[in-house]
Amino acid sequence: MSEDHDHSTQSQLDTRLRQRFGALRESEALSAPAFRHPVLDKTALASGSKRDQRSAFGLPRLAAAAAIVGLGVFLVIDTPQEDPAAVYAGIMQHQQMQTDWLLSVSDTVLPAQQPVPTLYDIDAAIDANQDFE
Amino acid sequence: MAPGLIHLLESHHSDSWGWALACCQWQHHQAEEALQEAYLRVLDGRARFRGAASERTWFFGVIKLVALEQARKASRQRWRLFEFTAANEAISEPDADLETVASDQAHQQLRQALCQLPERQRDVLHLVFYTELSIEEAAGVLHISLGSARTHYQRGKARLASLLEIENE
Repeated sequence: MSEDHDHSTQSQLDTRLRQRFGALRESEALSAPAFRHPVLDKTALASGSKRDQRSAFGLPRLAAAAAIVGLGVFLVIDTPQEDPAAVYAGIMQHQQMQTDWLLSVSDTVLPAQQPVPTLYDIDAAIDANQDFE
Repeated sequence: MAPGLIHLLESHHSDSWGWALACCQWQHHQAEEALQEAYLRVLDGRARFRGAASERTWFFGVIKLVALEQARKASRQRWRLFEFTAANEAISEPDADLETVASDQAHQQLRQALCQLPERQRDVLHLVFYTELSIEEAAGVLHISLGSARTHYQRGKARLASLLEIENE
């Protein structure tokens, strides 16, 4: 008797749960996104995983890298070769200019002219000493 | 690419969507990504049907696996964010999208009650009552033994009934 009651209760519970889940299923089916072809549909790929996003960005990256390499090669080829003697002369001139600039002193920073102190005359001192003796 | 495979996926699309939602705890955007990724894996051959179960059961298993991987990845990203900011204000609540999905109060109650169950119990109940699989098929989807699936089914059902009655009072 008790087993029958339990069975009946379980059955009622199952029915109620099935009804609630069924209603949920119908509701969620309405909100389901349209089935899109996962491989051919590019929008699906764009909203897909990171791997897919990486592949979608792969071509622009490749093009950008090729452009940078091309620019580098162009600059290397296009740079004119300079005469080593001219480069040396330029460097030396530059150094000289720097040196001159370091040695040059403007009028405002010249030390003030001071009177030269009286020189001690050693010969006169010796003569004076001899006279004293 | 086999046209039969496309047809199979399309015919189960609605149920697959419901299962993806349940696997992602009704977070709409994540469910959509998980489902698309599962489709891609099937069509590009990364996921292969070996005939151990029905094709539908097998595909539900693929969705579950993809959803788990996404959840782990999201968890790692959240943890990195937590380490960086030393606060979790920026972390979104797991059921933030629940409000947007729930259009009916009864459905929302059912979803919230399911979210309170342990994952295995929730999955088994969803597969049995929503997708109308047998407990044995649900065990196949989740890669657990039949005995374990039955235990999850019984305990989950009792707990869910209790939660729904409490909420209905």
